[in-house]
Amino acid sequence: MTTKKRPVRAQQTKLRAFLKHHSQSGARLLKMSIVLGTLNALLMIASCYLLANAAHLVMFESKNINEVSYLLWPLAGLILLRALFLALSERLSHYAAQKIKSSMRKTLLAKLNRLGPTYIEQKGQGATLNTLHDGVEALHQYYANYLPSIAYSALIPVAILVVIFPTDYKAGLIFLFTAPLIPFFMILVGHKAEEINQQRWQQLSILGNYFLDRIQGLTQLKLFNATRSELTHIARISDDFRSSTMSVLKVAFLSAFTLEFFATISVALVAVIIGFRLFFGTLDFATGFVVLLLAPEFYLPLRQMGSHYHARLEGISAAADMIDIINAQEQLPLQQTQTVPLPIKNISAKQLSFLYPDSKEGISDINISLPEQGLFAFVGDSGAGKSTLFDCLLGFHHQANSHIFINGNALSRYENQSWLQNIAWIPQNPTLFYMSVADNLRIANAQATQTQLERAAAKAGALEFILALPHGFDTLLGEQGEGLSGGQKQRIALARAFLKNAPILMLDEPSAHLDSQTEQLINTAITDYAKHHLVLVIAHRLNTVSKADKIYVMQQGKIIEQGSYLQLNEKEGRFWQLVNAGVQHD
Amino acid sequence: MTNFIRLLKLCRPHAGMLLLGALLSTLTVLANIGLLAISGWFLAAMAAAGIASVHMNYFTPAGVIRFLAIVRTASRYGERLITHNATFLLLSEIRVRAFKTLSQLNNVDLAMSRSADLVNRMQNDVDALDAFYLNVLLPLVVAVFGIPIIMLFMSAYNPNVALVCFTALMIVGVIVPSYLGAKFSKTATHEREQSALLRAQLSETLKGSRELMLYQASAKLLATCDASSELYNQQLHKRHSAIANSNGLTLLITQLTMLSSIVILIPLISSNQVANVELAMMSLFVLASFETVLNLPNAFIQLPNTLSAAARIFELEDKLTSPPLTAAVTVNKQPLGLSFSNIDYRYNDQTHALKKVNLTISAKQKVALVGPSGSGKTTLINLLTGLWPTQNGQVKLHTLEDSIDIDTLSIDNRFDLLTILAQHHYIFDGSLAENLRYAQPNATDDMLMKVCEQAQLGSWLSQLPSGLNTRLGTAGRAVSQGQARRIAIAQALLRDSPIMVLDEPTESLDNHTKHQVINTIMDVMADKTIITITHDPALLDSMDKVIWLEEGAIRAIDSHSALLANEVDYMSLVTRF
Repeated sequence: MTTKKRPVRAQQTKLRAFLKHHSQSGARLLKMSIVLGTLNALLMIASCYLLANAAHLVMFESKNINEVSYLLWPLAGLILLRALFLALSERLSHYAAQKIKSSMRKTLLAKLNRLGPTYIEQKGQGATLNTLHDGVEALHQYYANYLPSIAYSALIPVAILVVIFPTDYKAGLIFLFTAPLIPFFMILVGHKAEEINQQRWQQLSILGNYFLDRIQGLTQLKLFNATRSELTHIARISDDFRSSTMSVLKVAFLSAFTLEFFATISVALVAVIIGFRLFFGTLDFATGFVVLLLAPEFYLPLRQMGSHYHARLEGISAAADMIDIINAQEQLPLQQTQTVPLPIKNISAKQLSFLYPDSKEGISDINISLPEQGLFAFVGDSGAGKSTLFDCLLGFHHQANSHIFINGNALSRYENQSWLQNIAWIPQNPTLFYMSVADNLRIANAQATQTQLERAAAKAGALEFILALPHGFDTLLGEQGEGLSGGQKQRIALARAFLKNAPILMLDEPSAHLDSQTEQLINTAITDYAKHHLVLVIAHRLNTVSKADKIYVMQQGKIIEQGSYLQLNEKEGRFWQLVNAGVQHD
Repeated sequence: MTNFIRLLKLCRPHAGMLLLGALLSTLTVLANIGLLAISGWFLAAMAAAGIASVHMNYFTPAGVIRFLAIVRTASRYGERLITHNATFLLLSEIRVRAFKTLSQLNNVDLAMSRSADLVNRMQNDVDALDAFYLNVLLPLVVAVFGIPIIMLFMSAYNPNVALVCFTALMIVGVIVPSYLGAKFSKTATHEREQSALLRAQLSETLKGSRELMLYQASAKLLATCDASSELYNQQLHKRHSAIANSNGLTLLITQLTMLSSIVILIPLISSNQVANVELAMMSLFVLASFETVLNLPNAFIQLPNTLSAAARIFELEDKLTSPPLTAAVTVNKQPLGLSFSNIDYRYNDQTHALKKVNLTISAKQKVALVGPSGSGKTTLINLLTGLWPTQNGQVKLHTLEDSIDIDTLSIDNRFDLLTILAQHHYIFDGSLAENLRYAQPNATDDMLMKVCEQAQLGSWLSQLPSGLNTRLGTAGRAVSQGQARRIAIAQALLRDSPIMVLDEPTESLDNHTKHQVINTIMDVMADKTIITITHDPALLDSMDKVIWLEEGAIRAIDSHSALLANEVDYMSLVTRF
């Protein structure tokens, strides 16, 4: 659903420049396509001459078929060549558009990868996905049709003029003076149409989407028993949509009407003038016929350009999203070459603060020190800063790196990748990729052997159900692990983390209610891992916190309590409130 | 073919408008062909008259040319207005009909388990049908009307030229495009699959960007995406190349037909069987005659697509069985208890969502359903709505003196007695008031303000400049999850039904709001039967009893405090931070 505002004129110029700049990968092909298209037009002019001359010779010089065959055979040849050039030119322009799309998508993906997860989350995953997929596809017609049509509207009329002038300058003059009328009126009427369009765009798209919106909420309507009254609504809205759209279309059609009117008048003018000159014998028929044949072709490219208006607008609108991504500021860490020294004995944060730009949310003044092994739980309301703290520890917010210390040395001293090598991480909703179970696990360790895969899966309590899948480890996982239960997805993610065998495991516990057996399995796996590694958990479950070596309670970006489960419970503070919310009802 | 005829029947209410559009369309094409042919003849005749130095009545042909030029331009304008207007009329017809079908089918027939899929398919199918008149029907009618008229004139001049021209028209207008259409409908599946694959991979790469970064596997996934993007483009290229080829072929055939008509005519002119001026006319006439099939290729290419979309929509229509019992029992609004007996349910063959569930809820009782995801809570509610028909067992309503099988009630009656606050609550594109009135169409503004106040939306509402008229939904103001939940609660409060089902009513609410909302619910709905799905201890504590489900069966039924005291698993199930 595109309900967003369309770019205004000033932006459009910038966006067109952007689209031009990013057309390099297909620029040569596009040029070749335009050259072939122009050649096609030149051959068209030549074939008009051949046809007109043949007609003239037969009609007025009483030549028979054999005497004009020297004109007709080349005409046949030209027709063949034209068909060839046309097909090739179109193929090339589409091919060019494809190359440009591929490279645009590649560029955007690479840039998004550098911008990192936080940027994608801020911008919205859905919106970004649309830009990457449909947005890039929307460029196709822009490059394949609209750009060539601009070139043709400049090249072909000129070519025709160049040929017409030496033949008959008077006809040439008519062409020359009427030609600017078309773009002039096109701009004049087009401007008006676009203005109305701009005003109504939002309203139109809402009306246009009304039906689909109601289908999306169909179950809701059924539950309210409101489907019957909604039917009359849909009929009424469809009618509103019709009248609103028609009022926009009327203007658009009027502009087309004007254009056509002028093109027709111009052709008629040419025809009449030529007719009289033929009548008075000041012009031979061959020339007159050529001019008549060429007249519609002269205006055609200009009119075609108008018909690609939609492609232009779509391309430009899509570009608006892309330019945002391409121009986004990357926050590069200082280029460090030093790798994190192993083994990691201690991780600490001192006066660690991080606030998201344009919001007050974040963390402030965090001071913690974590040993090389054990289970550490972080609890608090949503928005308390747990995820932000984890992001900082992961090194995603480079500004905060100087407040995080590894074995006493600031994280900012080390190369980012060498730090990440030491961490495995499981989010609340782990991503399963569209590949086999084995490949999903190998994301963590590309070189892992089958035995290693099995061992990791067994540790995560996943081996049994993986082997029960139709093709075991080779089973292809569908979109977002379709067909697997929530608990099974969690265990695959856990196996993936175990496969990396990193000294630090960070995980955001699922808040969904898994069945107790799965919860038990996962819990045991994690506590076992914590015996020899450092495990940090954003905890939502009682079982997890009761086994933690230490619990950090967060509120409004600060750590307000810390200690063991028993200590915190005795204290009857915030943690006690959280745990006993179920028992104590006020 | 049957689908095509059914589609035509759909057009019947607007047949007049559609036909007028088609006639104007044909007129435009014919005027244009006439214009070109007569211009050619006019020039040739003027030249001939000039050479022979005879007088010529040039007023009539010049007048005809002017007339045709005006007819062409004016009828094109009128045609566009009328055909587009007709398209929108038809669109409304199709959409209302499709919606009616969808609203009458139950969710099992609609395969609602994959609702995103249904919505996407509906969108594409309805779009395809929307284009039926303009892109498929209109070009067909223009060709059917236009070609015979042209052939009549052309064969009057020369049958051979007419025959050649007719053959070429059929090749360009029917044979090549039908071949393309058949080919495209085959590759369309590939195209859709590739597109879906690319989308899925892009989506995963974006969603999993943190994991990929951590596992240093970004490069691998980016390469996969690039490869998919490339593959998708290659698939698209097949289509684009085929279109480019057919465009080349069309040009070739059109021009060669013109050339052959000249070759046929030249000997006849040399032998004076045909007037010399007719050569110019005929060559232009033949060229222009291809305008009658100009839009046919597109029509034939879209036809398979349109027909399969129609087939899917008609298939849904055909699933509609005769309306349910009209002589249904009517239960008045009164305190109602309900019971589920021997309920079995499975969504597919392998797994039971519910196994032999028996439970009774008495009138005005407040019960909670708890259990891990997949334990059958939502399925139980789904059966209550009737949108998922029962497979085994019975759901009954209990009045003071009677018990009635819920499936014997009319849909209207059923939803008068039942209010469902769904977990996946949908906020429609429209104002806040419009959204609320879906729950109670006759509610006054004062009533709306009151329930907003009760649902703790008061302070938010007072900040909104347009108040109740604030636009919500995809094009409107974004609401937070907590606000969305409270809007749903406000809707539930507007309904006056004896049974209230509240699926996670307090989810995403902060602590303070949560307690206010619970108080309101308990207060306002004191004399109603409440079933709530929740894991919120505060809400569970207010309930009379808790039904604990696990793997489609009842594990325990008891009060919250008793379960908390006796069951360790229950304690960990409901304790979440």
